[in-house]
Amino acid sequence: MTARTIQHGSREHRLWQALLYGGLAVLVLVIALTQPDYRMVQFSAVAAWSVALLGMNLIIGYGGQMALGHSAFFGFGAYLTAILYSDYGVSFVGTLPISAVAGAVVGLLLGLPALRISGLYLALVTLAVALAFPSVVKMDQLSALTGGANGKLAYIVWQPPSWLPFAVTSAGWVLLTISTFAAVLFLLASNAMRSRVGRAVLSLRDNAIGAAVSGVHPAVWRTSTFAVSAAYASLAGSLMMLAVPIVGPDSGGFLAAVTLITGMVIGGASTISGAVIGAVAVVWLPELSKSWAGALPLVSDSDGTVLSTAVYGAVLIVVVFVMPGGVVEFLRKARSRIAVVVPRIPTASTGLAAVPTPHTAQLEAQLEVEQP
Amino acid sequence: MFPMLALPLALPGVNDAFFNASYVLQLLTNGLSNGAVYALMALSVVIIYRTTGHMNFAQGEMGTIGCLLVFSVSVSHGVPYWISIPAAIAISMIVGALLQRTLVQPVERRGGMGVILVTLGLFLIFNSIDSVIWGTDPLQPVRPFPSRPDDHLVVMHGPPQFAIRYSAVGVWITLGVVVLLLHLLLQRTRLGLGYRAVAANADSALLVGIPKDRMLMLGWALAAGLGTLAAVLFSQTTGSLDFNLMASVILYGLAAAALGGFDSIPGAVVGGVVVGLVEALVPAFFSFIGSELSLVMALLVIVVVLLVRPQGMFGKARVVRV
Repeated sequence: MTARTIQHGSREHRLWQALLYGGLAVLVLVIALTQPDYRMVQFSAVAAWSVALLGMNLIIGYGGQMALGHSAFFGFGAYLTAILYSDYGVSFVGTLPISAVAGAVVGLLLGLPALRISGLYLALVTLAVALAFPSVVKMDQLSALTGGANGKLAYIVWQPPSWLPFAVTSAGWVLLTISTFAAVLFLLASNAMRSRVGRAVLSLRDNAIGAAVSGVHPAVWRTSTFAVSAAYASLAGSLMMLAVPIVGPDSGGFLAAVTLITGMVIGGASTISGAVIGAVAVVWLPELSKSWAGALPLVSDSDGTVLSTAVYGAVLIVVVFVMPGGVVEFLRKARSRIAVVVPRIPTASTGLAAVPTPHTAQLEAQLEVEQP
Repeated sequence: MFPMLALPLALPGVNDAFFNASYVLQLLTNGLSNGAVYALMALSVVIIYRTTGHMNFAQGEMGTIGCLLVFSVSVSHGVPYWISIPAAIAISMIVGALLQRTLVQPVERRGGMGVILVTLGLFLIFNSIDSVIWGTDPLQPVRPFPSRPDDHLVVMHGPPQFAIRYSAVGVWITLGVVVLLLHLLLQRTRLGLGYRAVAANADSALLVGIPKDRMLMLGWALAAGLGTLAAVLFSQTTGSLDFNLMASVILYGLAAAALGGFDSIPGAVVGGVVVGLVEALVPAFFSFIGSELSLVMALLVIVVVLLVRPQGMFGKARVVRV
């Protein structure tokens, strides 16, 4: 059986996209209307984590820079929102742009050294940032602001507005809010990665010298990718404050960093949609692994909680071996048996779309780098 | 000793107590003891990095497990420490070699982040196994060196008193012996020659018949043994032992390796001592830096060294051909 060829941007492709995204939106709405509150908090956490993971995918998967300490940016954003909301009376939505800009600035400051430090060294530095984050938060000079080791509380009042045509609980409204913000951020990232921005970032990853020769300024593009990805992680932390009203020093720490890395690897680092699957894993893997570990003989319940970390580590290693491209890459391979999406090919003279011949379609399918 | 010295030098942000000879000397010896442990960690980082270009982020946790094994065998079952410690080191060397062969090498061919991710996964696994088997409460570690409160040589009678602890001397001597043995192994034996050949040029080494894979395993085995030794010595120095024993030590070790150069063995020793001294002296000198910020200082050491001189103090600068 030969696979169907679907041209990117064609009517058929649009239809499938509309079905997929519409289905996802309906799913979120159904969850928001029907699920109990504790489930809603988990789904809200998925939406918030997915934004952080998307930030990591942008810098690691697309940018090719091993910035592994994004939990520090996540924690930074969460603390910023908590402090601004509860100490300075800034509205929650008002803290979001501040969090994004501040995250980008911090990311820029850390991204400047990343110009000289690359590969393993960058991994080391960024992991060290995550490792040092809790001790910075617990610093005597900052503890009045951050609450020290106890963490920072911020109960954000977030009631559904009256114009809403359906009745939804406050937890459901939180889920809808975070999901909407996440959807916008995903749309932005996905469009950017498919435009000349994405081509510039990818070209730097694949061949930096070639990219520089073609007019992509490596320093500018690398630092701005770093800044944008830090802003995403910081925003994710801010959004999380809506779902979980407390942030502690360890939310930005080493274990959180490894948790995020595991989610990223499970979803697939160089994909957009992998961030959602990774976030699902980040939220439910600890719960699942607790029950897996608890099912083992000779393990008490309290040990099961601790052993879940071990299961986490084991899952990370297994995924690296079995699915190095993550779940999304795996699904894409499965899909390619049924249908292949080929990009639109502009002609040299007009730049308009041309109908691909079977031969170019095949070539493009081989060369296909990124198609959601 | 010199109480008058403190007054004319009272600077803003500077701890006045710093201008006291015995206080500073005490800080120096403390820094040297921790520095010796960091040097051992840095050595284990360097030994793996030289041949494979990898960093094992799980090294500290592997050392902690070795140290906890020593605790179980010696404290719970009364085996003397001069049997249990070498046995734990031998076991961790075997585990290190096996990990290299079973997990690291297969993933290496996939390139990129694989090895980092595997060592991070190992970090989680070892850390959680530690806390499941030995619990999360601090334990009384095995102390191979005399460590009663009065086991020290008083050099300056107080107050404040300056005394050199016998255990600190033991740690320094251990570091010296380890470096000497490592030097002899690498420079004077056929095995060491093979290891250095693989570190210099793996492909050429393979062509002249050196079993490259075994040399890589040797590197991981040596590193794991050093990690366990470092953990045992660190629990001796700090006097407590729990599952997070080495969580920060690995960062200091990495900072020391960065400072000395990731491919330099003398650099690792010097780097470790320098990091230990910086960690002890800087928070004591500046009153506004709390001791909880010493992790941040380790981070700063890494960042500054990698920015200013990426090859470290003693490392070779790499020439990249494009």
